[in-house]
Amino acid sequence: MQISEPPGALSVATRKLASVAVSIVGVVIVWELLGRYVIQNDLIFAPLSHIFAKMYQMAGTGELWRHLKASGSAFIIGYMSAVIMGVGFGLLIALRPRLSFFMEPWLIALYATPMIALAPIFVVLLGIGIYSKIAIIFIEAFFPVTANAALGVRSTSKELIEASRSFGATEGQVMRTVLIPYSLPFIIAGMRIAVARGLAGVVIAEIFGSVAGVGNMIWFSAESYDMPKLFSGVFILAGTSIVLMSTLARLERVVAPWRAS
Amino acid sequence: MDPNNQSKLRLSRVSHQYPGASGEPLVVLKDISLDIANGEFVTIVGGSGSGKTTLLRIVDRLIPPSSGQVLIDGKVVERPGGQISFVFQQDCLMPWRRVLGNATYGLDLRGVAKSDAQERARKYLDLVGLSGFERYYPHQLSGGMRQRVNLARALAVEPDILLMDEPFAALDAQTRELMQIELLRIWKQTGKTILFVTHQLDEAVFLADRVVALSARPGSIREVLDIDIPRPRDIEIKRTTHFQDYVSRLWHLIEADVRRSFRAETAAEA
Ligand SMILES: Nc1ncnc2c1ncn2[C@@H]1O[C@H](COP(=O)(O)OP(=O)(O)OP(=O)(O)O)[C@@H](O)[C@H]1O
Ligand SMILES: [Mg+2]
Repeated sequence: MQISEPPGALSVATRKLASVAVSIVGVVIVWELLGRYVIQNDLIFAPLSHIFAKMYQMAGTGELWRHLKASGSAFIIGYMSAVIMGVGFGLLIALRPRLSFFMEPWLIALYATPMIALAPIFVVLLGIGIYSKIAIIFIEAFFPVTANAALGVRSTSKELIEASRSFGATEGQVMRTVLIPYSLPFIIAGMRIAVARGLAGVVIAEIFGSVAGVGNMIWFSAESYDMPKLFSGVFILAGTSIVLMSTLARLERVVAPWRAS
Repeated sequence: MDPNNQSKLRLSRVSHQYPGASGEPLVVLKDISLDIANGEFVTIVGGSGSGKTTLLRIVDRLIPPSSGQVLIDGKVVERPGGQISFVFQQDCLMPWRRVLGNATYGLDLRGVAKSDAQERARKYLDLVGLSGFERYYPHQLSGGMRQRVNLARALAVEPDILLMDEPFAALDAQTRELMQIELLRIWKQTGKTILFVTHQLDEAVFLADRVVALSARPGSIREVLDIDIPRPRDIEIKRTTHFQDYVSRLWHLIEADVRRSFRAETAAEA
């Protein structure tokens, strides 16, 4: 008996892609027309063509790269370490309930406190520059990953765990072959929240202390009403966020194919 | 230990209680003693809550009994994963593993080399009639097919004893009958010792050499019925009066308990 690959959902995906494309093209046109003919005050708005011209010019002078490097390096370091430590810590508190009783109130308190209130403390402690940025991004990104990893482990189906034990799995094998695979989609969901919070962290960190960075660029151009430059910064953040979010969504479909349908 | 012990699986005075919700311990099983010979097919029937799943979990060593002993080939087993495989009531396949990966699961845990594990898994997938579906994910299969994967996964570790907890309960009537015939064929081919729990009295009679009827909670053995129906059996025998006599005898054995637990459950819901 010959059976072909499992059925996919290609036509649905194509149709979704088409609607997204139509939506983007529509907004681009409306934005450009608004900027050119309706809101002609360039202190509050800018047509898309001006924004991209500005980005092109900044790329030419090297200014754009300087900002990207300053924010990007802090984001990568802060985000990656938050993910690694968040997963480890999340698994730990889920497996050691006693530890979680000790930690949970503090985790919740830190998670709930707006970063904008804490950021100045980090800048004072760690100085202006990459360290305070990393710390702020880390804290923003760490909690959603931790919370979701713990949630994933705690909600793992008891039947699956028992099935694994019945085949003679050790505690470590139960963890590796059941708890972690089951938690992966939860962890990825946490990583997506962490992208949004981490990028917000970049901007917040750079209000209080920075000499360069995309957030820095946004704040300075806002003060000087340089709308094309301000929107350039916003677009970079939005673009980064979209790329990371959709990459993570794709990753989720790979590690958790059963959730897609 | 009895030196001329012939039984593959021996339960001696197994009792179990769970710590109840109200502090009062909940006695679920009482004094279960049973000898099962090598290659024998024994089914267990009993009302809901009579402790059938608990009994299988004890035999598999997933939980220790509160008292009593379980002996396999005359020896006490310390932990799960040896000569026993469990086919669970709910289909509990790993949704992130393909059919082949699920079938190799037990072998992976035991450190069998990947190519050997896959070869063995393929053999048992073939036996349960699933060759060609190796690359499917569980969510792409029907309930009957998932239970076949469950069975293949249990067989792939080549256990002596199979514990099956209402494995066909979620299937429609036609698929269930088909699976019963398939199971008898596989049993004949592999010579396993099978302990099979079911709610379905005709299923219990159709499959078994012996049917064990449990009383309502705390479950104790009400009676053990020898089923004297020649093998190989086919679905036609379910219509004979001989077969029907067994079913009604079983029904009379557990009727009062089932009615009582039904009343208790409906009262609890009200
Ligand atoms: N882990 C547990 N902790 C406490 N009580 C339990 C536990 N597992 C089962 N019980 C209780 O023990 C009794 C027997 O449960 P068990 O699952 O063995 O019954 P069963 O005969 O398999 O029932 P069913 O036919 O509905 O599957 C039930 O009253 C149940 O509520
Ligand atoms: Mg049960």
